Amino acid sequence: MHLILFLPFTPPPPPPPPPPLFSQCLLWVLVVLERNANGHRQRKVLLVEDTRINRIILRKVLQNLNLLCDEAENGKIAVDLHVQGNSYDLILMDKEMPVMDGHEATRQLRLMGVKTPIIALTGNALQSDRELFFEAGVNDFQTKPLSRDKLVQLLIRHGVESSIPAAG
Amino acid sequence: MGKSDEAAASREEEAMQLAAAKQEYAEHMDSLRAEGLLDDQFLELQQLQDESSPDFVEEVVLLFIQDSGRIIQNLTDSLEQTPVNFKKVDAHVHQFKGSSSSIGAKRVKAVCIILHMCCDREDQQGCLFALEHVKREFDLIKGKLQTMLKLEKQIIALGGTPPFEDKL
Repeated sequence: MHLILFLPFTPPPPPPPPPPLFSQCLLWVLVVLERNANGHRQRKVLLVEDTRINRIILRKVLQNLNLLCDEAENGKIAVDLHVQGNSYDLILMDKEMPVMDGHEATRQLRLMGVKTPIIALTGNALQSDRELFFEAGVNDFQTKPLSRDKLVQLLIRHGVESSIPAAG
Repeated sequence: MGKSDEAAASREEEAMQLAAAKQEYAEHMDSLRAEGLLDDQFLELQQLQDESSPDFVEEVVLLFIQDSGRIIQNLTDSLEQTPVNFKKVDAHVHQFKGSSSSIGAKRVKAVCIILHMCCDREDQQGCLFALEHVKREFDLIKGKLQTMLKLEKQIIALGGTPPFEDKL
């Protein structure tokens, strides 16, 4: 039995080019549904970083890796996003931010019961920084700037690998 | 000379102009790296540019120049206050260090670290001296990046396409 499905959904980027013939349109929809049914859900990352340029660059890295991205300029916004019911596959957490820093935001998220892997990002590689962040509850620690290759390794390590396209 | 000969001569001249422009660009970028003005992070930035964001590098560079000018003004104003709020000064330095690191502006980042150390010691004179270094390094990289963008536009006007260097 064949079903003709017209569903209002957005295929994950980059979508396959829509075919010209109606009969092929049906096949295209079924392929996209099958892709979703196999669990290739587009992963979502929360980027918590106060410096605008850093957010723009990391956003582009995440987009190129086929990952959705929400952004928070400080730790309080990150916590508020979770209070509002948002959830993520990974959180990239800067350390020094106005209003609420990365340590405090991490502590609050863990107290809320958020189990999402949190990767601490800092420009310093001080041992004291690492210890404070791990005490707060992060899963991993990286010095900035975060390259594409380092990010891919982090994603794989924390189980967010299914969105990663083949390296070009 | 027939029309086809003229057309061929014209194409050859355009090809030579394009090759010369690319050579000038390559030498300019080599000098930026050799002088330690840009590090590998800038290459990461260039590799993020693609068909979906064809002006990504230009956008980030222009934003860096604009934001940096503002931060330098904030630093100058903050260091002229009596007494100096070193925490506020350090917050500005942190922002500048972060953005310069993300774009690969290696020498700007290095002098920001020196300025940060002076803030830690609450050494106003040291901060003022370091700020002059920061301004000099920023002016230098700003001019070089603006030249880079100008050369890229020339290559595009002559029919060239990115990447503008073979090593990318």
